[in-house]
Order: sequence, then structure tokens, then C-alpha cells
Amino acid sequence: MKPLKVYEVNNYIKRIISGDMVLSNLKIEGEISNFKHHYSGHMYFSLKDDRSKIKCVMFRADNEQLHIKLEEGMKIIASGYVSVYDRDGDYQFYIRSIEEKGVGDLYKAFEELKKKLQKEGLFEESRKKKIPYLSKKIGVVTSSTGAAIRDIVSIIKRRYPPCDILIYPTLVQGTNAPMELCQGLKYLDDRLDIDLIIMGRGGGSFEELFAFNDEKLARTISNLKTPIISAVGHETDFTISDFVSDLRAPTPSAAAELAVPDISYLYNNLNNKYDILSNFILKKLHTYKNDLNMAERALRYNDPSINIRDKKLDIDNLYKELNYSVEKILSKEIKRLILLENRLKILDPNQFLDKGYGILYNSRHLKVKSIDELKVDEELHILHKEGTIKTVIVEINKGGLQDGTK
Amino acid sequence: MELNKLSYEEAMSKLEGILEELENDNITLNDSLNKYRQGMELYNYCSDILKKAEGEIKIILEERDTIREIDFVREGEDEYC
Repeated sequence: MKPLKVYEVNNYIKRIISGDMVLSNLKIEGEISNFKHHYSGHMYFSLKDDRSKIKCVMFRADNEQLHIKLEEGMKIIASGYVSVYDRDGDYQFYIRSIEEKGVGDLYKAFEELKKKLQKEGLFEESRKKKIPYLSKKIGVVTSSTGAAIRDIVSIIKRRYPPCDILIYPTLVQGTNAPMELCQGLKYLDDRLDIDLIIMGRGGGSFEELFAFNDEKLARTISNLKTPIISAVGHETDFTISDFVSDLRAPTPSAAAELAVPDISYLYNNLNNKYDILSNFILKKLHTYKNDLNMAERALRYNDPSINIRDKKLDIDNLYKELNYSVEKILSKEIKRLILLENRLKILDPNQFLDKGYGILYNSRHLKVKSIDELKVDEELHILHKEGTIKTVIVEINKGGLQDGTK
Repeated sequence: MELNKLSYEEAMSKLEGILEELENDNITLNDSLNKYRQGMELYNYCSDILKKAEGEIKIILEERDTIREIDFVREGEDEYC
């Protein structure tokens, strides 16, 4: 048998392999190891699983199309063909394209768990506890290193300095993370001094955030007595923890903002109430004082002593009036009396006697009123100023004085 | 009124309630003075809560089955905060 050249053998093997239906187009699933990105732009690494490994190459033209950054230890599914590198006699897997192994599975698992828990009602709005308005102490479950805890602490301290913070440090990615997160949550929930829990971590790939899609963690969260804010990754990242928590914050910083109000706002609000309260009572007291003053004035106006004084005045007036009336009556009477006196004077018989007249009386001492009652020889008495004269009638001539003289 | 059992929010809403009652014109002077006194107590209570000294920041430390709290030191700040 004629010996073959080495290259002839390798070439032969290459031809056989290249003609194989399976090897010319296949997908291989494995973990990247010995990854080298050559300066030429080509990538060299191995794909391995727990039993075996295969050499791989991905040329620049192909790896430039990749959407993911290949790293040591990454689990991938690669598409390509198996061929032989003549020079070294190595068979290799020539990779044309790669999909990240597991991401598809993880998404599927995420969607399935989400559906399952949703069906159970774990995301129901009615289950969500109210975030306390003002927490005295906030428990934080997150990594003790990294931006998340720094942001949370400094924002809470800036907004509401009196707040106590208790940090329960945990892993936030990897297989042990869900268990540690659960422990942290339970520990803080069992304490009686924690008003609110914030659980979260900073941004990362879907896989890195996957600890927060754990079913046990979801159930632990939903059984918490303490209200919880979940803040995993960035605005666009949603995890099962977010859905089952009482409140989802888009970022750890946002969680801190949602956790406590701004103290200056609280002060403004409180001082405003104080102003209203003190203004009110001052106004009220002022009104009452005014009312009191008015009442006092009214009282003084209605003072009975004023009344008494007035009545006294009335009495005085009445007295005056009475006096006046009596005087009026008296003077009238006096005038009448004087009048009567005058009349009396006119009628006084003495006034005739004074003038030298005499008055005739008959024998029975009655004034003679008419000549007819007299008879001749009848006695007559004549009353004169200086005394009485007794006489006898000699002759009676009826008629006027003139007639008598005739 | 047992103040120290009230949360800040509860005290605030009580304070708001008192302000509302005070605005009622029918309230007597005596009642309004009582309400005012209660309102001031609530104000002082709320104010004291806000004035509470800087809260502490602790971190849980687990060592051999025991759990301790130690001061959490923030990066780029003074040693203790």
C-alpha cells in the first residue's frame, strides 16, 4: 500500500466531512471557553458542555453581524458547518451566526410565570398595600455595593432626613440571589420597626435581572405584611417582582423618591396650616372683642340709672306743670274774687247812705220795695248814715219824683 | 387625644379637620378655643416629627448565626453618617 501524504489524508477527510448532510449545516449548543478575539478580527474559541468540547472559529465578516457581545462562559446556540483546517488537521466548527442560548428560554419562563401568577391574582390591584405617607424606618434589600444603594440612601436622606434606613445586603444576580432576596425580605418583614421595604438593583441585561423573576421571590413578596416598592433595572425593564410588589419604581432613585415626601414640601404644608389656624383664632378673638365692645356700649346705653335720671326729670317737669296749673287756677279765682268784690261794692247799701240817701223800712223792719204796700199813718223807719229816724206817713202820692214836686 | 399613637398623615388630616370645623360660623368661642388648642398640639406634634434628628443608616451584618447592625458608610462622604 502506497503511503499517503499528510495533507492528502486531511484533504480526504475534509472532502468526506464537507459532503456530509448533517455536518454541512447544523446548530451546536454550548458554553464559550478559551475565547480569543484575534487582531485580524476573527474569533477563536471552544464550545463545551459537561462532557466534551469543539473548536470554533467565527470570521470577521460573520462576527461583525453579531448583536451580542461574546464572553467567556456564555451559553450560546451557534449555526454553521464543520470542516477541517488542512494545515493542523483539526476539525472545527465554522460559525456563521449565534443566538444567545437561554435568553429565549428565559423569556419563555418569564412569560409563563407571569401568566401563571396573574391567573392566581397575585398582580391584582386590590392586593396592593398602600405605601406609607411618612415612613420612620425603611428597609432596603439590595447589593451593599453599587450605585443602587448609594442612590437610594442619598435621595431618601436628601428628601426626608429624619428617616432611618436599614440595609439588608444581598446578591442581586446569579442563582443564589433569589434565596438571599427572600431571606432579606422575610427578615425585614418580621421586624416590627420597618414601615416600608425597597427592593431592587441597578440596570443589567435580561439575564442579570432574572433573579427578580423567581417564583419563590414573587410569592415571598406577595406574602409580605410590609408595603414594598420594587425597583429593578431601568425604566424599560419589567420583572415579576415589579408586578407583584405594591409599587413599581422605574429605577432605584425613583423608588427613593416614591418612598418619602420632600421635607420642605411637608414644612410648607404644615406652616401653611399653622398660619391658617393662628390667623383664624386671631380673627375670631378680634370679632368677639368687637362684639363685646358693642355689647358694652349697648349695656351702657341701656343703663337703668340713666332711666332713673330721666324719670326724675319727668317728675320735676310734672311738678312744674302742676304748680303752673294750680297757679293759673288760683290767679283766675283771685281775678273772679276781685270782680265779685267790685260787684259787691257796687251793691253795698252803705255807698248810698254815704251819699246822703236813706233807706225805708216798714214797721216790721222790712225794706220797703214798693209804694203800694204803704198806707197813711203807718210808721216808717228811715235808716240814715248817722242813725235811724222814726216817722209817720202823712201823704202818699204815686208817680214820679217830678210829679210829686208838681 | 392621644397624639403619639397618630401617624404624621393622621395628625395632618386631623389638623385639616379642625381647620374645617373652625371655619364653621356656628362654632362657639369656647369650642373654637378648644379646637385651636387641639390644632396647635397637632401642629407641634407634626413639627416635632419633621424636626427629629437625622435618622440613622445601618446595615445588617450576619456572622456565625448572629445578626448585627452596623453603621453604613457611604462612599465619598464622611466616615459616619
